[in-house]
Amino acid sequence: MWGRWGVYLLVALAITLPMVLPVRIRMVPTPPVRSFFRMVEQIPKGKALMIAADFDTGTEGENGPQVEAVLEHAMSRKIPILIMGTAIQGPELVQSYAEDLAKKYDYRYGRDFVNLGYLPGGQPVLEKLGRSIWQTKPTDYQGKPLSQLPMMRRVRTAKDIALVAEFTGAGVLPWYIQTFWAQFRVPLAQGCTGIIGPEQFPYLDSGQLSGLMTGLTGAAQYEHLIKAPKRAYRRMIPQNFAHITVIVLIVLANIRLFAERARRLRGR
Amino acid sequence: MLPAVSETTQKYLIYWLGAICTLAIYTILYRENRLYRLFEHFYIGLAVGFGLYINFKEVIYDVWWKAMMTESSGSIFAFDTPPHLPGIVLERDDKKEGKGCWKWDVGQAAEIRLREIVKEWGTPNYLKLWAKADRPVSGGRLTLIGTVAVPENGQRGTFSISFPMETDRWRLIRLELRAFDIRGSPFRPFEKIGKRNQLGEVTDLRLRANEALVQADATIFLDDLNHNIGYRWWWVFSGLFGLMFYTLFIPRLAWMSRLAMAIPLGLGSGYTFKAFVLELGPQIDASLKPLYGDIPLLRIVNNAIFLIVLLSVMTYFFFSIEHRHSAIRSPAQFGRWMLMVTFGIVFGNTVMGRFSLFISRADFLIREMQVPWDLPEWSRLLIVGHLLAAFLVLAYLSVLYERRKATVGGTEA
Repeated sequence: MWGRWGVYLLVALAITLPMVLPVRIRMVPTPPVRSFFRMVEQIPKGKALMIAADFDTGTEGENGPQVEAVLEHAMSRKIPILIMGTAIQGPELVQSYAEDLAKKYDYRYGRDFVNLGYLPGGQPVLEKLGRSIWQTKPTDYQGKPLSQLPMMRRVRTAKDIALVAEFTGAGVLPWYIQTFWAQFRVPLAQGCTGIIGPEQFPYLDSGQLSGLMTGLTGAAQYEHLIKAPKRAYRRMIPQNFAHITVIVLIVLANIRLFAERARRLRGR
Repeated sequence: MLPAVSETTQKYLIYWLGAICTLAIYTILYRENRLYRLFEHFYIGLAVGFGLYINFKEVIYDVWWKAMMTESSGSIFAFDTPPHLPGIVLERDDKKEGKGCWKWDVGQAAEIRLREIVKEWGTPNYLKLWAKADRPVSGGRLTLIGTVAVPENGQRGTFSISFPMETDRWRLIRLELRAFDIRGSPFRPFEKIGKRNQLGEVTDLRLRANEALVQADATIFLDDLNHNIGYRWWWVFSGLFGLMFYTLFIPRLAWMSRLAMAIPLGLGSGYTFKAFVLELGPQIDASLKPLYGDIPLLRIVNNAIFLIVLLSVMTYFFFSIEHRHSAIRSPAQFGRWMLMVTFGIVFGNTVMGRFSLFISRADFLIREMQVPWDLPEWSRLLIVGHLLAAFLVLAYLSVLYERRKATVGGTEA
């Protein structure tokens, strides 16, 4: 009983104390995050970035800072942003981040960014979306016709999208690979939760993914690349301390385990 | 109607509601209790409610219901503003829609150009125009001529359609797009769903009166020109088909649900085959890495490690031959070790993910705290700590209450 509470207390201290103490850490971006950054950096003028918000509030802690970092990068480059999602809550969450950042970068809804909202139907709908956005979702998330949103005159099919940035905590990447990457030849980059991170590396190796951000650490690395350390960087400090605590606890528990085993063997 | 609240009040409400919910949910760390269950129900209710609303509003209503119950119209030209063209005046009394209509004396100008039209028409099937003449004109006809530019390839095209204008009563004229005389390439090259490609941007729109109307010196009244997709009433079948899933609850009709399930199953099977070609194909291709040639030594070492691990893991999953011979057993064992390493990575990432989620809540509670005073972060941490302690006490009391109730119930029984 006390062992469990002891671990809780240690982890709680490892997480909360760095939040109130002036601690700094150094970020070193990994090649997949650098590649994600490069893909956004290389979006040509006039082409759009599609943000696929395939996450819900359950993984907002990881996916949220990732999307924010990419939105900030895209807005600083004046790239048109198209938001959609195959998860119900995702597009609404991304809309709130975009509205917050829009003030800083003078982005206006309809002119510089548009939210298509929730798109149910999975892969067949993505296939249709790539062929014609106007026919697949003739209205935005508020029910406003696309004809009333000036940006949508330039963003009509997958041909007008330079990069699909997908953010998820679930395994929906194959839908985008089979449609946007394989059929329409649009590069894909992904921001995923830590849990599914290792599963995505084969896609990166095969070139199906052009960039990858894993968990909060990926978001913090991206923030470092765009020189705008915010939520993710701030949260990586307690994350590091929590990891150190867990590693120390695992090592101590193993030492104790081996010591007990040795004692038992000596007692025989 | 809820009263309007200031932005600051909204911030306070959002933070403190969020903080109370978060702390109440974290009482599960102590044990299952009534406080936790109450807030868990709030969360489930909110998530289900939000899901229902979005599904109903953005999918069922906006996409399905509107397609069936409306013509999905869009205005091209309203004829509501003064024309500033010779021979045309704005008529405010004898109109059909909006603020007014145009009264066009064809004797003064046989052709008019509509300025500031809506260029993007979407995917219309027909246009609609309110029109009438001031008196019946035998053989009177109007021609609608449009010029279309396709931004994607720079090509241009025109369309035109002629329609009778003989009556002196307001008539809603329906102009089917398939009946248009199309010249050049007015359609977009890539954007296509169904039979037809999408129309480009309509840059110019003119109306021309024929000789009969000019000679009769007729006056034409024009109002509201719209593009329409039309009522897609047949979408009702998709709704009925969807409802077939619910026949599962009626044993006599349950067979119908299997019919409905057959479609997604068939689609899924088809897509699985497609996935093999489009998703796994490139991965198999990428797995064949070179071990020699004009590549850096480090890359060769990397590729060799990759291939050894790949072949070992595949050997482990090769169950057709018993793993007795050392040529099979050793790589299979090595493959198993590699799998263990992978599972370790996955588990490590899982722990990292869970910490991230907890840290995001702790960050919200401490750093995003909304209080009227400028508090140092130490004080915020202390406030959150005290609140958590208070919630844990409440959880403890709820557990005590449940235990006492169970004891009393047991004694009575």
